[in-house]
Amino acid sequence: MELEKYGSQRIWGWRMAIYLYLVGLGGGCYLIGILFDLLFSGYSTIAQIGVLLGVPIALVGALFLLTDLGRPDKAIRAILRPSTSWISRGTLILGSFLILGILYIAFFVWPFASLIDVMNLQRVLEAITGFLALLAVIYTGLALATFRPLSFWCTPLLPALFLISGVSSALMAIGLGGVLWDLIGYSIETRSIAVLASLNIPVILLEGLLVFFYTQGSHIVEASRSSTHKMIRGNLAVFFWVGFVLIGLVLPFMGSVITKVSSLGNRENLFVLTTLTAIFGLLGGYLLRYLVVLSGVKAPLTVGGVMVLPNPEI
Amino acid sequence: MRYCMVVDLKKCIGCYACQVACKAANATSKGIHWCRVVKQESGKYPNVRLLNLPILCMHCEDPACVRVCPTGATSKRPEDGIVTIDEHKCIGCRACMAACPYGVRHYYDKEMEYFPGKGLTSLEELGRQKYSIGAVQKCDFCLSLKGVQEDYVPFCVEVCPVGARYFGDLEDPNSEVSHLISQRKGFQLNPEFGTDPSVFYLPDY
Repeated sequence: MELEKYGSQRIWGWRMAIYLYLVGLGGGCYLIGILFDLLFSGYSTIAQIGVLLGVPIALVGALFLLTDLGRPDKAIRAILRPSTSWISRGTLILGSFLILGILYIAFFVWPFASLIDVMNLQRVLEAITGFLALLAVIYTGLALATFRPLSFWCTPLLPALFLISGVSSALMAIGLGGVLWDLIGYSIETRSIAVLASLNIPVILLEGLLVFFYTQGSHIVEASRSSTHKMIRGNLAVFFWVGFVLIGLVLPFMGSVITKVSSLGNRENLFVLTTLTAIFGLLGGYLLRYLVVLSGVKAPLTVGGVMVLPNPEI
Repeated sequence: MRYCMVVDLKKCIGCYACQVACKAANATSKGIHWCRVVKQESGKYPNVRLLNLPILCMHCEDPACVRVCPTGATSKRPEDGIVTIDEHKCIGCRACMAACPYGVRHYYDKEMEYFPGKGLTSLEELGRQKYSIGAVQKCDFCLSLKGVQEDYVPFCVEVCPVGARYFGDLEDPNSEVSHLISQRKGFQLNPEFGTDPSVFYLPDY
């Protein structure tokens, strides 16, 4: 049967892609912020921007999930089956991350600032929320990877890809946040922008490599082959090649390299370059989720091991 | 006890009586078919083959939909193996639809009219009273309509004009369904997913 005969799944669409993207991005920003605070002294601005961006971005992502539910008013029930359901586990992870993340930020802006010093809560909260942020990013891939009939999603490469993509998008988002930080009157050092760009170079390369393996590894199963076909040759090919590969990978890679090389040059040019790199990279990050979600093809029905017909859901 | 349906593909003539009966009995919304007949042609003239494949919820022994449901809205009845949905618990996340290998779960996301602007038929009115928007629904072997009683069979079995559907207890080795499966080499769809469906098909040759 020709691959075109298999239709894409219609269970989830762009709203699910935005949810996966924003939770990955928010979790990535927060994780990087915490890691910078724990591991690198002298980059406190990056740590602050990462933490301050991470929680609200993930919160907006969660709102997109709510709007995608058939009955958002009953959403609290989603936590009831963590023993078997990844949706339940993810809801608990994301909910805990958001609550503790907000608490962590609140400790710095509220009169509770002294409390965090007294009780040495900062490091404890950092460790817990950082771990939850990491889980939230990985979960966005795991949530899809558990659906066996959708073989394009059902691979351990997907959580890895979403993690790397989340980190890359987060590095660029923090860079953009730094530019905005500077614009509203707080100064950011160019070396901070440069270090973000330097870190992003290998991450983007790794993301490209993972996408290559992800698409190449999908040739074994017919439904996955159809998914890859839709993505790189079919009706989504323009989004993949122009939107994701060119705008989302190649341009941010070049932007990061130039930023790293010219970080000691003109400050305004550096900020413009960082902004453009971030806009392109963030668009690419979303398109990756969008393409993965929309390219999902359910396994065809096999009748007696002989006849094969497209899944009737389509 | 484990309720099981056997569909004889050799007998099925693809008349859609089961599909219509299911729709009429359950008053499902426009575009939603808990039971449907999928037709598939194969081969090249003159060696062609037409398969009429009735599809419904497979009421699997190890249902993937139950595992992924975050609220417990989907569950398998231990007493008879029927997989049901409690609409009041369903939040409409559709994870069960993604997990189901057979594409037999349906999301009731909006009210659609058969005759737009001309009012609802009595069947549509009944459906709107029965089902909640934003929830997933599917075949329950007519459990909600008939209740489990002795010699009960779902409507699709009742109306089949050629007697292509059989219904009974899979765990009873003397039941008709058990005999048919063993004697005529009944098979399940997509056994590779390991869900062990309770709907079996008899080959059409």
